[in-house]
Amino acid sequence: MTVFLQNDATGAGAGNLDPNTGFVNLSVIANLDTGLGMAAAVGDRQQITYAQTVMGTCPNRLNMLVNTVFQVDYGMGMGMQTVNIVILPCLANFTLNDNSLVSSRGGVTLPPAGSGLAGAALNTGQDCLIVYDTTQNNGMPVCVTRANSGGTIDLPLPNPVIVYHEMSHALRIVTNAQLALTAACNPSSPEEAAAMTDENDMRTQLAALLGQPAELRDTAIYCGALCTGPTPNCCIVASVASGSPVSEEVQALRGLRDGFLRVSEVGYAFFDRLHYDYYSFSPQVCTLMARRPELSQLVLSGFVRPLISALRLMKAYAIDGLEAAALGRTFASMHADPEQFAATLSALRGTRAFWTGVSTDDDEIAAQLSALLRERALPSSHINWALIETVRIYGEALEEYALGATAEALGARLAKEFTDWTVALPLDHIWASLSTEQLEIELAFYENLLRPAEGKARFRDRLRARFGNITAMRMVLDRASPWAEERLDG
Amino acid sequence: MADSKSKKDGGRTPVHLEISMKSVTANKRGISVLLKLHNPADRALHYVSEVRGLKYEPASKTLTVIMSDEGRVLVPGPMEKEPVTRSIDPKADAELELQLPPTIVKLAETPSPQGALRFEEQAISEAEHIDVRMAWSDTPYYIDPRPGDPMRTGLQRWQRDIAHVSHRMRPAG
Repeated sequence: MTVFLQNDATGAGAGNLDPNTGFVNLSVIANLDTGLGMAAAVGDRQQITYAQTVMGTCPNRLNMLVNTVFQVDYGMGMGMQTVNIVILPCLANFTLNDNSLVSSRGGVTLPPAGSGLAGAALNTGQDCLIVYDTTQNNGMPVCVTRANSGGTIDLPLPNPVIVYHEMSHALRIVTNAQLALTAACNPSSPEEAAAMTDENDMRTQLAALLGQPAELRDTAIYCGALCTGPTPNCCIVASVASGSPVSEEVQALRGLRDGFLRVSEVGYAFFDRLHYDYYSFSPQVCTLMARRPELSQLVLSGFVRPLISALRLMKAYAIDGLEAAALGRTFASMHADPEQFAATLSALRGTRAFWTGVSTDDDEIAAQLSALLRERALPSSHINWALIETVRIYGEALEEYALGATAEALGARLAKEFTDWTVALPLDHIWASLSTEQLEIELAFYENLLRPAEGKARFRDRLRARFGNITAMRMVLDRASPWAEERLDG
Repeated sequence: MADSKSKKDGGRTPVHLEISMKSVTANKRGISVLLKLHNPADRALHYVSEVRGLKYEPASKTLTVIMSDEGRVLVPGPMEKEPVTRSIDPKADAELELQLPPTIVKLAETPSPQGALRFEEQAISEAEHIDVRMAWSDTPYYIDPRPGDPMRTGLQRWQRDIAHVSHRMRPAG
């Protein structure tokens, strides 16, 4: 017998725990099995009893936890010990011994003190503690990432799901089988991925109980945010122009950025600088758009959407392996509607005027926008490369298409432009601080994006010219490349 | 008025966020702290607008309001909650009101002689000194998807610095 519910916070007076909610949450985990009960209180805790009559993954797990005596030697010199699981259904004012509010975590599972497991430092006793916030963050619930949603954080995290998730941790703690735990939010650590996998069993059971389709959690992403929506911090101009921080346009940009580019050290450093430069002017751009709403539509049609289209084409060519001819056909198919094509071209020309300062618009706000972009955006090599050049490539291809260029010719043009653009990546100082092994990884990652061997060679030439005095860089660049033969042949 | 100058520049223009306490009221229902923020920079700054931790030292009656992840220990839990943030325009002022509970409850440092859990309830509304520590940065909060540096939370990796302000409560009466 091993699971207990703490029914009072000894030394803190009554009313600081919510054991009633705690037992209700356990009943839901038992799928409302009436075999679940509580023994009479001993001290400040009540033992959970379970004579299981309802079968299922979650009741089975609960039955196993409740009716097993867990004995474990953590190898820390304390020998074999019996470890109970104690559930603390807390209120939002409960703080852990690192001073963090439990409401800011949703819950935690603390291994026994001295066990050496992650989190043990916050425990003062020999039980495994499940501490969770029964108030759902004081009525401001936190959501997590829905499966197959591209990282959208909008899936509620009800209390029974929290408890079941923590029971998954507890099971591995009392059997000394805790997996690697990190603070990584995306991708999640093995320990958290395992708990989220178990959590989805609870979500499935809960949905069946409510007669609803199951909504599962993405086990690869451990992030949570207020259910009222994430802080609208991604691509602020795109958010304002498209009317929502979770619009299709913003999701597309976020997906490209977080799912692929920022994962590498070089990509992360690049975006760190890009964000810094971008947010030196983008809030002011949004203020101007708010003062003249038709500007939002122009920015959406003439900048945000062309940027997304260009990035998608680049991805199709560089990552998905689309050949030049197919690239041209894809481009043409994106502009099959003559009316939409004309509108996009017109919008592109309209926004181009803001960058060049050659605006035909006498509007004061347009003049302010133009000045802001020339003062803050254009001097940034990162903004130029990531945003302005990308849209320029796309816009010029569109102009060619308007003049009657064939899909094949457009494909060849785009393929060459994309390669030149990739070679021209602004070289941040991070390249100079990487070890040989890291350099090899980063270089391989980036060279994968450069399809022609001559493009890879040109990029290496740039690295050599900039960082050739650094030994690690020289060693990596001097090594033979798998594509060198291709270059000689080509 | 206290300020927090950024430490790491990395080619960035040095900026800082200034915070001060406009008012503090405490009673049995809790503590209300009204913060005033000032951004003297010519770019927007972004700050954590939620309380993520509370620390109380009964001997000195000092309450620390933690709006960052400093000191946070890695523990298994249901999710890693992204910080709630707000932004403040260039050369602008803003106000932020924090509502704190009258008490906090935590595990006592030692269990009972019989090994049972013990708890402490701390009346933070009796605090005579209040410190606020607020994480901020010059870019909005983004999740860090890199596999490296896995022992720090996203907020710890994001923050450029911590702005802080101390306030001594006036004696009652």
